[in-house]
Amino acid sequence: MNLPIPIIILFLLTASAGMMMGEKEAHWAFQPLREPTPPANLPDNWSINKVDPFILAPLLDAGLSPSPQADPATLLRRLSLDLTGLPPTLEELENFEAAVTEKGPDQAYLALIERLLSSPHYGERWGRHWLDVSRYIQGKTKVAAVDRIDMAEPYRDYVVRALNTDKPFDQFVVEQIAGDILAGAGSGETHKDQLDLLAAPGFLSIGPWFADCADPNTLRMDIIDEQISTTTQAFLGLNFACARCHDHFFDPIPTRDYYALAGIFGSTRILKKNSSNWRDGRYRLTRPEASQKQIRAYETNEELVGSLRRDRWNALSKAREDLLKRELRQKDAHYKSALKDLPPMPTVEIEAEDYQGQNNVRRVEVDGETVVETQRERLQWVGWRPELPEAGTYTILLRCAAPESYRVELKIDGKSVVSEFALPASGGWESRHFRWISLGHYLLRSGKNDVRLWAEDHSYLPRIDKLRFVRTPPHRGKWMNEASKKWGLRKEILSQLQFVPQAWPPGIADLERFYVPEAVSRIDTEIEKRRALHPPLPRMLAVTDAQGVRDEPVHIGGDTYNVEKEPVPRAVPSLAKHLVKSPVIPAHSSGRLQLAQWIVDPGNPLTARVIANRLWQGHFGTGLVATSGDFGIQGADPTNQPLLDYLAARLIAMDWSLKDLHRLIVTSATYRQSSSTAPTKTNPDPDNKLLWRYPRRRLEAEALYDSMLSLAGKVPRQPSGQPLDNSKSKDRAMYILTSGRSPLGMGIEIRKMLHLFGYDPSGVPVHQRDSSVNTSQSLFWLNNKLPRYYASKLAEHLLSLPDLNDEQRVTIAFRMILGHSPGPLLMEQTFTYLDHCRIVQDLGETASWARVVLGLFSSDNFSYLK
Amino acid sequence: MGFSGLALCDLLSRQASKAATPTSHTSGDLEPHFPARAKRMIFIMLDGGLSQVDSYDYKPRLQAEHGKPLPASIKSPKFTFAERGHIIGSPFEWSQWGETGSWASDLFPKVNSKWLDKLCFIHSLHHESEDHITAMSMLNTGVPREVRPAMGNWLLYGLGSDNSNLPGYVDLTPKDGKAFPTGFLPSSFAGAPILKPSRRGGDLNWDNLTAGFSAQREHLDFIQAVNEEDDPLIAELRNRELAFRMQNVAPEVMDLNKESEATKELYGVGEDHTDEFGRTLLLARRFSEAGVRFVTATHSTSRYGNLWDQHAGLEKGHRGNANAVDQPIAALLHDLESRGMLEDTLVLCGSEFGRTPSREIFDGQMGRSDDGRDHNPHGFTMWMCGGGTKQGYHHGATDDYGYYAIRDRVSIHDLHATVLHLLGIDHKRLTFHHSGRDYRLTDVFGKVVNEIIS
Repeated sequence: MNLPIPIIILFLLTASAGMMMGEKEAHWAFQPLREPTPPANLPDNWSINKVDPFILAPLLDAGLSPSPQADPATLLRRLSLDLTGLPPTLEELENFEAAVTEKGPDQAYLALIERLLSSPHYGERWGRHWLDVSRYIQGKTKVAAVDRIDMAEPYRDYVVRALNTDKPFDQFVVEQIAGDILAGAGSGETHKDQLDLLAAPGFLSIGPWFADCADPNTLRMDIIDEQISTTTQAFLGLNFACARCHDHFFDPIPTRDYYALAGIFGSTRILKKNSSNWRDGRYRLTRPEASQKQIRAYETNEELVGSLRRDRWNALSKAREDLLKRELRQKDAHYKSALKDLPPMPTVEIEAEDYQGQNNVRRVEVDGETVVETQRERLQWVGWRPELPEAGTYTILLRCAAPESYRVELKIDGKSVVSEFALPASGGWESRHFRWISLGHYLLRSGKNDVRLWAEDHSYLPRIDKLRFVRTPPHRGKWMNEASKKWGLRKEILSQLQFVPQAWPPGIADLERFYVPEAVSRIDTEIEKRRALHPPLPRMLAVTDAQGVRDEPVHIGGDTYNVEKEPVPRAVPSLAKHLVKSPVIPAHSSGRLQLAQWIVDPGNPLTARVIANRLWQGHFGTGLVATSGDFGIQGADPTNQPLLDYLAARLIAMDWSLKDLHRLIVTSATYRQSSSTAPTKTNPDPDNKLLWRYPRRRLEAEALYDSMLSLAGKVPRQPSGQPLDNSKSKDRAMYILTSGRSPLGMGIEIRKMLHLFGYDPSGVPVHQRDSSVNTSQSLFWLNNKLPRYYASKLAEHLLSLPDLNDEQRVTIAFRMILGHSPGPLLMEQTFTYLDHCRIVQDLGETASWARVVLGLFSSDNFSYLK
Repeated sequence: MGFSGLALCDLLSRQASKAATPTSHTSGDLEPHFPARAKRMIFIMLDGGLSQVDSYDYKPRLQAEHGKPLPASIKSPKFTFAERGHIIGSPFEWSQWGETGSWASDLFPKVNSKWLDKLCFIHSLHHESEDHITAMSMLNTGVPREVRPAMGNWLLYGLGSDNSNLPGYVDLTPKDGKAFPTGFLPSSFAGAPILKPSRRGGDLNWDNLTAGFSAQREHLDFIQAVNEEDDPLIAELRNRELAFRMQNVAPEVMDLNKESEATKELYGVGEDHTDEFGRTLLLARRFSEAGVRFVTATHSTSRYGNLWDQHAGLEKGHRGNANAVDQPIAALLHDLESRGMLEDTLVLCGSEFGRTPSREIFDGQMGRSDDGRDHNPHGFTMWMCGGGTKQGYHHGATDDYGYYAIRDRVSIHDLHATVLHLLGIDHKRLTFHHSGRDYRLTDVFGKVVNEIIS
């Protein structure tokens, strides 16, 4: 049993690690990268490309031999799932079989590699792998720290696009750390490139943190720490976070290096603000997802709208005078009499400031009136408990003011009764802008009711002065008709008057309630038209250099309030200083660009090795270094360093093309091996570390879900060589996970499924998925409604295929779900189960077939890549 | 059942995760590090913040100085949830209870009259997290602002389960899905949430355990036939069989109708105030009895959460909440004792923080209300019972106003270290290698509070 090493030994090891950093005995990962020559003179009729001798030599040394090539159907399924996360469709299977017959298995396989590498789904699959490393997660999760990361999609889509277009990895790295700086320097050639450059550093901004935190200074250091930890792990395979409090115990990472980096990230702005008020929220900095030109056009339009609004106010003001002359002078007495005639409507009016519960609103004085307004930019709500004389339908009216239209949600006794309700703009925040607005009528009970008004997230409430609850009986329309006829009055005026009798004569803002002058309607149409022409620009996370760059001092023991006197100058880590020249960081720049360029310097011993290893891990389940996020002294030793170095060196030589590296790997005989060779009793490598067969492994959660989805026909395959249209992919797991979408009303089940099969929703970097096997997974396949739903969809499809007998149908089901036909024995066993469902359980035809399909979903062959 | 009888479920998941994450320590010791005083644990979580100065931390000065400002010697914390207002006296009746004569208010009369002499109090708990979310994270995982495994995940990881047909960690909570993820621990050490245990007489909803259809045996045989065409995966096979058994066992454990009327009455099942939490704790006992290592029972509400968060309406709110849990908690302790389970079951009861001796100033004005208290993580009380803890013992103390822990201060890491110790685990040796370092529940901190161990 492995026991953690006592602290005392840690210190001894620290000392020896220091010694190992001497010129001769550096830890393997810090040694310079050189391309090794493949082992030669092997008895070899197995190798296909230069990867293979690297695998063959240690196998032969261990007295092992590699496995033969897997059969074509297995390779099709393996490569399709591996490169696109989707199983081959029946059509693809048939085409491939035809190609094998026509051109031979080898040519068919090579053509398959090219088709899949240029499939737009490749970017989704491998983009998701990278998004694990960059700890991408978004909104709607149950994890407190990440429940408010939104607007991160542009970063996600950037990653997918970068992989699909085979953006050189060094450029990919630099853009994620310093894209905004490049964009500022005008390096993006087209508008789209420019936006990509701005989206890429979303990488720094999407980390988890709590918007609420009582101590802003500690939170600031926590956020910097999160960025350092993620960045160093992602690109260097080292976690610098240990050095926040002390020199790294094992790896050559002194605390000073940590704070040199802290200066770089601390001089980078990713927060809107960092105020000392803990409830102000630490919202991420955002910017319009648009070009400068589009932004200017939008702003010009907004100015025009502003002037139209002033015209509108003037028109209202004029119309008010007309109305007063016409209606007030002549008919005021009639209105008063008519009101008296009408049956009474019991009413409760409350001052907004007498709220009974609120979040982040405050009371302010406006011309002697106390009103309630938004205090902070998050989670605004205010609630009242009106005590009503009788149960029934009440019209709820709000007296409020706002220069813009704000959307609100109304909750009565905790239940949402209306959401996305657009309160109209009233002209401004001042007392003259207050007007009454009806929120509609709702059933309320006698006695106390809990009424809450919520602002939309990231938005505001209007200034609110009063609320009115007016009992509104069903026959009211009839009264209005009669009374207005009798007294010769305008019905809409009388009706509004009855709701708030004291609001007469109306102020300018309130006039619209009684009557909308034509001039105002015209302006409204114009405003609408202008707004439609230039709708609000979508927003994306923004990263910029801070106004003032600032070096960080060492925080002694990681203590926020105990710092060394002299700050540490911003600098790249010292660990490769014998291999890469340390760049000079300009005085007024954060230094991110220099850091990024240092990371991708071909002399940096870590970067190429780390990414080459991640690719290997993606293809074989385990990397050549099993700890793909830890290349330090505590990490796993490489199982085949010559091969890793070969791949890393080739990657640099191939101009950092990831697709070229994929091609090299999947073309190899190593990748094409069968997984079903059984180990002999004397096999010295039962864990298959040397890869004497292809390692069978469980598919990731997304691939499992997408497989079911795909079998239900929900993932139309997009043609190779074309850009991705992700509107057609939107139901795939990677998008569901990162959005609020809840297809089939089973969003919760989907999330649970993904977590159950190793997806980590906590927003931390994931270098290897958790592929542990547990009982809950078995229970999921047995009982969850999600696989049952997809099983019955597929069963319906199978039964809708015309002119088939049971045997043909079973064969199709097996070929669709598992990629091969069943043998005769299994065919018989399937019939036995089908008949059991039909006869013993007395299920209908669709239900019986659905059981069979579910059985296939639940099998190892569905969940495991062979 | 002993520790040697390691559960199959656990063994399999260990093997599987070992294969998957080759360099992780995939388990703690399968044998406890030293003789365990407790074999299992029930954590009663009062969500929102039970006021220590209104329950078990008697501060007569609050009554005497009601309406006055706190003295300057009681400094304001560096950052607070809201500005601090004047002192509020406790609205509850305080007296001495039992043979030990321990002071307690009349909030929990049933617990106090029968059990106060047997409870073990820690009055000096403290941490730095002023808001619910970070405080809850701190209490469960030992860190305020990162996603880490919770105490229950660690216990399961370290000790496994005692019942091969049930998960080792069950989370009884009305707060839909608010259970913490396992952080870096494999999902096989996750808690199994059982939601909404409140529906009177209704079925309890255990995710994925409600049978989708009958005749599972034939279904399993068919799956196996499909697998056998290739070489079958042994771990998957064993898990399917286990799932099949669990399917049969678990509903029985959750069926409260197996209990006598007298027992149900004891827990207050069927009574308006106590039905919900009575069911929850009765279920907690049934799970513990069946070998579940760690059960959390949260007293909260699905609607707004933070049930005990009385910024206003302290007396009414705390009284109502206490009425809902007092009888069930007393019943649980009695039930465990009469079954001989109390000596090796550790019961822990408390909140993510306590409350201030003063009211808060909010919005620059009066505050939310004159009869409410703010959050206070700087000095609060929890109690333990059974599982090798001392009886009628009081550890640590706060200042004269109950604001700050001043004597024998106990951090959350200390609490975690102590809990692990009682369950036979050395907190320094229960580690998981992740992201380049060995992680512990107690990080690099934690000291066992030996004084509270009997």
